[in-house]
Amino acid sequence: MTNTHALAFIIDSPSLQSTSKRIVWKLVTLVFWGLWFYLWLPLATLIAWMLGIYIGYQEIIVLQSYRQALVTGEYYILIAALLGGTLIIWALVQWLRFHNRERRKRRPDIGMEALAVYYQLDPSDLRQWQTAQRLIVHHDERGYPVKADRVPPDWFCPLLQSKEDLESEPLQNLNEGTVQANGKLSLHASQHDPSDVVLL
Amino acid sequence: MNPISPHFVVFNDNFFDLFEYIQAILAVFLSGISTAFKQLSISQILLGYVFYYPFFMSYVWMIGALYYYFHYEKHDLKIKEQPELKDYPSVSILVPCYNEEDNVKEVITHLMGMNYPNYEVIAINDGSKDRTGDILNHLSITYPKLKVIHHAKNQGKAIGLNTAALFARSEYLIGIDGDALLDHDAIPWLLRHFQMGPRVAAVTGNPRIRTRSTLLGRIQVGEFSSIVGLIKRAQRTYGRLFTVSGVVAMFRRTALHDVNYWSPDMLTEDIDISWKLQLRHWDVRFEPRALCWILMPETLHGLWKQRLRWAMGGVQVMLKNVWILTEWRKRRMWPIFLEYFSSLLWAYLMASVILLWSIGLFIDLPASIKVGSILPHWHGVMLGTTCLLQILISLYLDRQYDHSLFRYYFWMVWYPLAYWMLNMMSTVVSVPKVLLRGHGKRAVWVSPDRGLRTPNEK
Repeated sequence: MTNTHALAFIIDSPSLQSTSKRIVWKLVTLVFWGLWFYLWLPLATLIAWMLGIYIGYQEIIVLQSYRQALVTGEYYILIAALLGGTLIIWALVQWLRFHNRERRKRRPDIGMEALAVYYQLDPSDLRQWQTAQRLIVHHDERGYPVKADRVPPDWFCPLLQSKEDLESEPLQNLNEGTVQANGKLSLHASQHDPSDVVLL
Repeated sequence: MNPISPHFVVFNDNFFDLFEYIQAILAVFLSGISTAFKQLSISQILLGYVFYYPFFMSYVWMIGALYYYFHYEKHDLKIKEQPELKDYPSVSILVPCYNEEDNVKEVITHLMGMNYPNYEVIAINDGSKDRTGDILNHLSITYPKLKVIHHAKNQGKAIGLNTAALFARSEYLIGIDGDALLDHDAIPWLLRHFQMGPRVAAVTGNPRIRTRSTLLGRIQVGEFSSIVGLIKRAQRTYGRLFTVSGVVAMFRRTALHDVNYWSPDMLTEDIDISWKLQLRHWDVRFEPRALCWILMPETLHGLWKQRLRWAMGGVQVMLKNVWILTEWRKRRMWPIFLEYFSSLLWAYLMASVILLWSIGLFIDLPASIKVGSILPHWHGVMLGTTCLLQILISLYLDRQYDHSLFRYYFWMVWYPLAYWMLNMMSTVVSVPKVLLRGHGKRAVWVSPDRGLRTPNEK
């Protein structure tokens, strides 16, 4: 995908927020930038000292405070380099050891028989289900599929939880649905005989 | 440390020095924790950890990610090119849906245009209470490639994926979310890894944020680069991933079968499956060119719920896998485990530091636990600079996969400060919640906040 296509997916519409919200968020971000500069105050102080050469000279050179910064900095660089270096050496060693050298043989792809055995299903049922375009699937308490039935495209019950649900809420038959210009489905519900579904 | 030495006025204030901290850490290993406490006070140990851990880990991530980039990525094919495959096996794209009436039509229609000759789409309607099911049924009339599985009862995402994996006709399965738009070229990018080696069990793609209207959305654009992009690259340099992105990952069904598929009781099934596969010595990889456009929360409430679930899922997987530390054969996952444990510890210690500092404002605490100031002075300069450097590098590495990525740098100043706090709080809350939750309870769907969208964008 090129960046031109990427643009089509990005939703950047700040106008969806209220003006006050946008202003507040911008201000808060600026405050955080301010905080960031506050963190750099010691650096700014150092620069200020350097600008006031006399005091800076006194603090940094005569009293040798730069040494502490240098020593601390050296340790930081050393440790970061040590950690990063270890990772890179590890990666290189692994690459040299295993690059283009596959010790494991490819396992045969898991077949329908093995899948059926795993879920304790009849392979011929599973074969049929794998080719069905629409199914309703029932699971046991472990979450294993135990039963599946093909359903027609105009079938759907949004709240199929139990037989009680079916009896209390009439199902919707949606074969009259049309797609509107905005992409939403317009549904013309009609009564559906619950007994059709109880058999599932 | 000599507190009267004049240079501390400028450079060290009331903090401590790295050298002493290392001595104290070594003392813990060599002669026990009491020696360490003799060298440093409790508050110094706390402050040291909350500073040094993110500071040095940040360099590990940066160095690891840069190594990955220069070793594997830079000289590889560019995103505009197409990888050549040895063959074009059947691929099944699994889309678990729960109450996705706003997004599912767009997602399925988009999937029908994949640049790959041999694939099917399996949408799983997991007992949705809205019109997801009927929209899917209608779409299945238009698109013969679309297979629709309705669950008779709501079962959770993991069982949805397991059911679809059973009914799929392919060995290669891509899992995407019901609101995610998979890039049309993603299949060959993901599939090529499986053709490189028989040990590859999963390849995770590169999620890119669509919702960028608000500040929270924009921060996440940068965050996903610095977390998903940078850390996944660094972890691949090491050789193991903490997790695939549940929103876009391709799996080998044989490997899933080997680890008993997705676990229904895990809050973040993606972290869990990544661990299960790698603990069985399967390889899990990252492919930055396999893009997937996702919606993310743009409200604080939505963000909090999402982060809490992620944190709880991570803690759950960590507790489940504590045993690996006693198994030499699982040693490759030890660093990933320890790094995650360290980040949990960081959250708790950071919370303790803030708590001790707040109490210290009102009560005079003993010197050993008194946190005089949480302003880190020179350490703040270094930590702040390191954070911004990390974000800069991560945006640089991901620049070819997104649009005008650097313009989000301005908003990223929030990330280390406010987002770390959010992640800290969600982590602190997650541990007791997971412990109270117990084992075996089925994970249920949450209806996330999907950002701001106008009706014609839906």
